[in-house]
Amino acid sequence: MNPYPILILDDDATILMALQETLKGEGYTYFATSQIAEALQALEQKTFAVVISDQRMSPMTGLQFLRQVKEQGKLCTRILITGVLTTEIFLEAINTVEVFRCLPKPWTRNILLAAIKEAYQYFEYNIAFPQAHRAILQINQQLVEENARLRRQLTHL
Amino acid sequence: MLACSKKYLIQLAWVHKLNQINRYLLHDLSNHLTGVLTLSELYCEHPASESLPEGLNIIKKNALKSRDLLTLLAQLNHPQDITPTYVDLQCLLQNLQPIIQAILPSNAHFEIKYASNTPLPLLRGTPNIVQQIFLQLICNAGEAVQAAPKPSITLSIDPTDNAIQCALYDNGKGFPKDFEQPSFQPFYTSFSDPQHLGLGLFSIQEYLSMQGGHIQIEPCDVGTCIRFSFSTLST
Repeated sequence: MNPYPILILDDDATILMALQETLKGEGYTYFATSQIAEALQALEQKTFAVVISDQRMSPMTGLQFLRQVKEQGKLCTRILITGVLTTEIFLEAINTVEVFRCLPKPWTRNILLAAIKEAYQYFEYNIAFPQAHRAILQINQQLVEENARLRRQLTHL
Repeated sequence: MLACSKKYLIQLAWVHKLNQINRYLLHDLSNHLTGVLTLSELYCEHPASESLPEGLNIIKKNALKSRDLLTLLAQLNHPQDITPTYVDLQCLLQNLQPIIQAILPSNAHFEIKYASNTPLPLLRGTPNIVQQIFLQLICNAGEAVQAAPKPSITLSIDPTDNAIQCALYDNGKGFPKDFEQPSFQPFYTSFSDPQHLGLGLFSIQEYLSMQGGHIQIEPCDVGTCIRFSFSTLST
């Protein structure tokens, strides 16, 4: 079971359903929505490992949404899905928004699952694990200090 | 020479817009195919999935929509007959609905308002050209409302004695405040990026004047109102 959920944003009901069923079958937890406002609200409330967004949406494009996610400092990997992948979109996605993958539609199951798995692992190894590691180091430091304090108390007895 | 240049500019305007419309249609087509492919691969691997009955219906629905879009793409990109005949506007707009749906943002509200319930008189003109005029104007309106919180586009159609008056309202970003009629000149564009050639309104005005119609842009507090008319067959 993967502890961190995946956020899916697409205004096409079929794609949303297809992605949900795929993620469910692979044991991922997810939050799926067709509304940009709902997606932004969900990002405020919890940490997502991967954010998957469609490009052609309104009132903002998928890239504008993912750029906002990046600028808000959300700890997640970003995947852009698009029906028409142009050079402009691709360059902006890679160079500015720093998405992990650009996934053109229609994809095959293998490509989709590999992209999600790699994005999830990237999040774990580069974001979640280092964060957990820093937390452990901090707790360890606190324990060392507490140990030293107890030792000092013992020497005074 | 001038007439020839105008003709090429008009053709270029339509080819440019057609390219944009094709991209919208291809986007929808690839969405439907993605649904079909993702769900069918999923059910091949997990045939006991609970969502199978619902999923099969979705696969069928999307396969049919893909077929319809392919037909539309083939029709739009087929060499166009430009023989002037007559146009049944109501029927033409009905046939354009799937394309209009594809070119407008998914959250946009689009409505056609007819002034009366009586059938419209036939228009004098070429069906393909009338279709191009509507597609260009609606596509522009779709672009204009993209950032609107509640995008809305309304097409009003009002037959008068010897013409059909049309008005296309949108609640998009509108024209610049200092805007005046010279926007019908070729290469006028209110967009700064090079994707917009500024030939759309020029070509529409040329088409309409060739067919006895006219076009004008009215300033609005919110968005844009484009009024245009076509002569009817009886005149």
